Amino acid sequence: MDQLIAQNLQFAYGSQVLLNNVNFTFESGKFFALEGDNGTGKSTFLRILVGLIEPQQGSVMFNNQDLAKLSVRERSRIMAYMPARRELSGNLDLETAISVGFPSVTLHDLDAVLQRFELTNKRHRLLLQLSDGEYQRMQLARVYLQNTPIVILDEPTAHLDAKWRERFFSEMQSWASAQQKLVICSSHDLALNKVYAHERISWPLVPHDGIETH
Amino acid sequence: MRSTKSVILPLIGVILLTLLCFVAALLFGSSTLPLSSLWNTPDAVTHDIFWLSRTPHALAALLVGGSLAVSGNLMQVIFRNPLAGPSVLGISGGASLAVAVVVLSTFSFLPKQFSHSAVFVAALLGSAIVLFLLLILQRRVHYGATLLIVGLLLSHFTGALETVLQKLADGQRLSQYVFWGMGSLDQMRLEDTVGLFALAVLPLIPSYFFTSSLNAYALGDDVAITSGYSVKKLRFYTLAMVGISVAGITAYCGPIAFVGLMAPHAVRMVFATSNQKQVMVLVPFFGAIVLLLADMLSRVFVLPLNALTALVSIPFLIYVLMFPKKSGLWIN
Repeated sequence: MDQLIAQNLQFAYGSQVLLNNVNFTFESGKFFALEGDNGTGKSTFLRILVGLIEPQQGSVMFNNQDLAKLSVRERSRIMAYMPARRELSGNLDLETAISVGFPSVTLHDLDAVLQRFELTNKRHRLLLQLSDGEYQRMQLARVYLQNTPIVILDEPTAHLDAKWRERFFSEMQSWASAQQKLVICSSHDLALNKVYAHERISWPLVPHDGIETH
Repeated sequence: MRSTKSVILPLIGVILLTLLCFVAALLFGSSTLPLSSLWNTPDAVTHDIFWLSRTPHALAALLVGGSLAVSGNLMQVIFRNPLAGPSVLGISGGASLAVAVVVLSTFSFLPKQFSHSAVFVAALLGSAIVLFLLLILQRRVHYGATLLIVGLLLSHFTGALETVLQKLADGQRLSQYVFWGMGSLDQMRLEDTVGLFALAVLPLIPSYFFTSSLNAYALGDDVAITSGYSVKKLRFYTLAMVGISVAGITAYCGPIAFVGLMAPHAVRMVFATSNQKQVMVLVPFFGAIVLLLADMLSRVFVLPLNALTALVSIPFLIYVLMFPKKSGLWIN
C-alpha cells in the first residue's frame, strides 16, 4: 500500500498563516474529499503536496521518499494534478492538448479516452473554442492518461453540469477502489462528497503535535 | 503518438512558395534581370548585380526571415502572449544601444567609417547584457507576462539612452547610425552568409527537440510541471537561443521589426494549428517569404526595409486581433 504523508507542513503568505504544522497520512485505495471555505489554504495545501510550491517547513513523503528530492519528471510518474483555474494562454487543438507529455499513448488509447469523456467530436477544436466544462473534461482526460498512483484534483467539477459532476465523482471513486489509486480532491459539492468519497476531511486541519490527525 | 494531422503537404507548399519568392528576389530590384541570369550572366554588370547584390540579399532574407520567425514563435509560446516578438524583449534594444555607444561615441579610436566587426561585437555584448538581466529576473519571476513587461520596459529604457546619445553625437556618425537603425540587408556580402547562418540559424536548432515541451507549456505552468516538464529550464534555454540568434541578426542587419511577430500568426491562421510540432516546421518558411518579398519591394521602390515590413504586417495583425477566432489567436 502506498502512503502520501504530509509532515509538519508550514506555509504563510506574509502574515497570513495558511498551513500551521499540518500532519496527515493519505493511503492508496481511498478517495479523500477536502472540504472547507474559500481562501483558507486548501489549494495551497494541494499545490504543496504535488510539489508546485515549496513548504516553508516540513516535507511531503511518498512512502519513504522525500518528494522534494525527486526531479520534476520523476514526480510526474507518481502524481498527476488538475488545477482549479483554466489557463487561457496557449491554444492547442484538443487532441494534442490531451496527449502531450505522454509519448507512450497510442492513437487507440487516445480514441478510447476521447470517447470516455465524450470529446470525440471536439478533437480538432482549439482550446479557446471549448466551454469551461469541456475544458475540465479535457483536463480529467489528461489525468486519466497520466495514470499515476496518486491523483490530486483542485475543485475539478466547478464548471460541470449535474450529469458530469456525478460522472467525475464516480470516476474518481473507481480510480481509488478498483485501481487502488490515491485520490485527493477539494470540492464544495458536499452532497456528492458524502456519496462518493471514502473519507471527508474538513479544512483547516486541527493541528496536533506531530501526530496524524485521523 | 502519431499526429492525425500531417504537415507534409503544407510543408511542400510553403517550400515551393519560398523558392518562388527566392527566385523573384534574385530577378527583381532596382533593375529587372532576365530569367536566364539564373544560369548565365551575360555581362559583367549583370554578373555583379547578381552575385554582389541580389544573391547576398536573397540568402540573407531567407536566413534572417526564417530565424526571426522561429524566434518570434518561441517568444510567443514562452511569454504566452501573441504580441511577443524579438524586438519586444529588449534584446534588440540592448543590441541597438551598445551599437549606438560604439558608433555615436566621440571616442576616436574607431574610424569614421565604422567597421562591421565593431558593430557586431557591440550588438552581441549589448544583447548579452540584456539577456543576462532577463535570465536573472526569470529565476525570480513566476509568470511569463511579468517578464514580457520587464522586457518592454528595458526596451524603452535602452531606447531613451539611445536618444541621449543621438543628441550628443555629431552629424556624420548620427546619419550612419540612423541608417543602421533602419534595418537593412544592404550590408550583406556573400561571404557573410556563413557567419549569419552560424549566429542566426544554428542557435535555434536545439529548439526543434523541445516541441513537445512547448506544447505542454501552452497548458499552463502547473500542468506542464506536473506532467514532468521543467518550465524554468525551458524558459532559460529558449531565451538563450532566441537571444543569441537575435543578436547575430541585429549585428549584421540592424533591428528588423515585425517579421518575427507576424509569421507565427500567419501559420496559425492559414493552417489552423498551434501544435508546435507543426508550427515550428512551417514558421521559418513564412518568415523567409515575408522578408524575401519585403526586401525585394524595398529594392524595387527604394524604400526602407522596416517601413515595408511594418506596412505589410500591421494591417494583417490588426485583422488578426479583430477576428481572433478565425485566426486562432488567444489573449490573456
